[in-house]
Amino acid sequence: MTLLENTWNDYLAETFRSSLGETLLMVAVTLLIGGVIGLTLGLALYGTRRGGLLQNRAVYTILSVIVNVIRPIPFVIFITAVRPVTLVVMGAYIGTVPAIFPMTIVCSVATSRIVEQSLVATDPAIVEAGRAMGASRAHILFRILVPEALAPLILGYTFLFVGVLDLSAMAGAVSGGGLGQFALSDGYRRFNDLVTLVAVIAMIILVQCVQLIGNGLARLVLRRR
Amino acid sequence: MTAEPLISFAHASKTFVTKDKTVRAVNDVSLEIPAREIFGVIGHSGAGKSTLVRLVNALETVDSGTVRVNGTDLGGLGEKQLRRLRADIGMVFQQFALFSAKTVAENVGYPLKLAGWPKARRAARIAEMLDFVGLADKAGAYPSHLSGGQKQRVGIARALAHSPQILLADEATSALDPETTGDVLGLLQRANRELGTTIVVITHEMGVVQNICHRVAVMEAGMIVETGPTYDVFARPAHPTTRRFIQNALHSHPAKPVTDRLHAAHPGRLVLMTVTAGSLDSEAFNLARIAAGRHVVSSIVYGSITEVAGRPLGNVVVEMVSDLPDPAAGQTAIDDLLAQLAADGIGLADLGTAAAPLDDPAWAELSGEETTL
Repeated sequence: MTLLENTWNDYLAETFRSSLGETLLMVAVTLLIGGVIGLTLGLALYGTRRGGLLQNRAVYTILSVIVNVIRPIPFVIFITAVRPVTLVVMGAYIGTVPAIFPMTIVCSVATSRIVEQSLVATDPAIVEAGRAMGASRAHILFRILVPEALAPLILGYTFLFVGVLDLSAMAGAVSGGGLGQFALSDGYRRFNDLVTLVAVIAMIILVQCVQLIGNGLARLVLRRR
Repeated sequence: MTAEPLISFAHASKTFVTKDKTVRAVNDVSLEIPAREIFGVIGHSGAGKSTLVRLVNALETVDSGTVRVNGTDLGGLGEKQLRRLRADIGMVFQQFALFSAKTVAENVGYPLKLAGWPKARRAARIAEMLDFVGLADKAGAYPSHLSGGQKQRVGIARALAHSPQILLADEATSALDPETTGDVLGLLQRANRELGTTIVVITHEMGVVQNICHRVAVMEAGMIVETGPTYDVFARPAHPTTRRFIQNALHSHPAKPVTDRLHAAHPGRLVLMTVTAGSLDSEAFNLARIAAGRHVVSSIVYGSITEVAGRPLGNVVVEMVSDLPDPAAGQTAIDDLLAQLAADGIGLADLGTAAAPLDDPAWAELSGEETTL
């Protein structure tokens, strides 16, 4: 193993590019799938709460317990703990694509709470108005409440992006690839702080861009009103 | 019974159970609301009136008893049928409950969209409704850009878009200033007159009932304590709660301190007379005429007359003084006049003179503690 302190070369540049690609892939797919599952789960949590449209104590308790059990587990441990399941679902447990599975689970769970919170903040009279018009419960949830809570939902998803980026970095710890693995393998383990610095800066830029877009979208949605 | 009432409650009860208490929000209510009427339900907050009105469109369902709309027992309907029923009942809310993410036109058109109206027909109806509420120029605006009164007009347009037979107004004017309240009440009246919509108005303001309701039910602790045509209830309130609401609305009945001040200023006999459409017709308040030949001079020293349900109503305090030299004969002359007025059916309360004041029987309950049922 060669020790390259604070050097940058073509190999590292190439690895950086592919790592960035892997990170973007993991984050994008996780956000997409986890976002949809999380939205559904969040709507279910909101709906089954006490006084909710689909009030159901048993379902709410079960969902809530699942969410509360998964959320506090540190992801580094979670990713190894669900390895057998990952193997069954993804056919492998090492690599970028398999890492998406545990990431998606954690992302869904986190999203569900953010969605639930955003919906709880909407005016309950809106739900009554929808019911009084004869709208179905599903219609009220998806077509009335989601648009009403769109701005906080956009901000919530933007916030989640940072969390998912964090997950992707830890996926690197178990050979998931991405900027996290780049920073650890090519930077930290080889005492090449420059590599770590590049990975950090790349992530900061990524987060800044996404936050700007998120803020912009939320402002756009709010200004329309 | 001439016709089947549009809405009828028969021994309807609804109880809410929370962690630490059980609330009987609606307690054995039997009530009939005919078609094309503006029916008021008045009560303090927590009296159960909001729950009562939600039984009509099945946002809440009864624990016992029945609620019928158009002859159909709502208890026998499934969710799908209830949704169809709700679509034919408009509802307006205290805090408007407009969809903030949708424009005024989209809000008004939403019930039509749910009902599957094609776009062109929807657009025509939206324009018609916005015209009806006087907001044609706000079609593209978002609710947050509207004033409270405008928001409620949009709420009414939305509730009426589907031409419902029934409109439920839950404290529709309680979040509005008095002037805007007048506009919105006028709009409800127009909907009743021009569209024939039956309107159930929930309110804690007697002024709302006074202005637009044909009939009224007074609610307390989940029960209807009094019901009848608005004018009759105002003119002859039977229940203490009703009397308190009316006193607060009309302010024409003098409280004890007011009467004390009147006695201090006017030494003669003070008589509280109730002014009704009937008593005005009988010329009981032609004071010169009624006193003629009786040696009694009457003058109004306090009171107010206003309109309730389009007819005059109020109370006046009249000072009666006799010009007979003998004080005892003078008092007898006044007594004779009062007896005559009472015989003519005029509501009277003798408040006595400054020297010998009498108590108004209404004070005890108007100033007293909350009457328990």
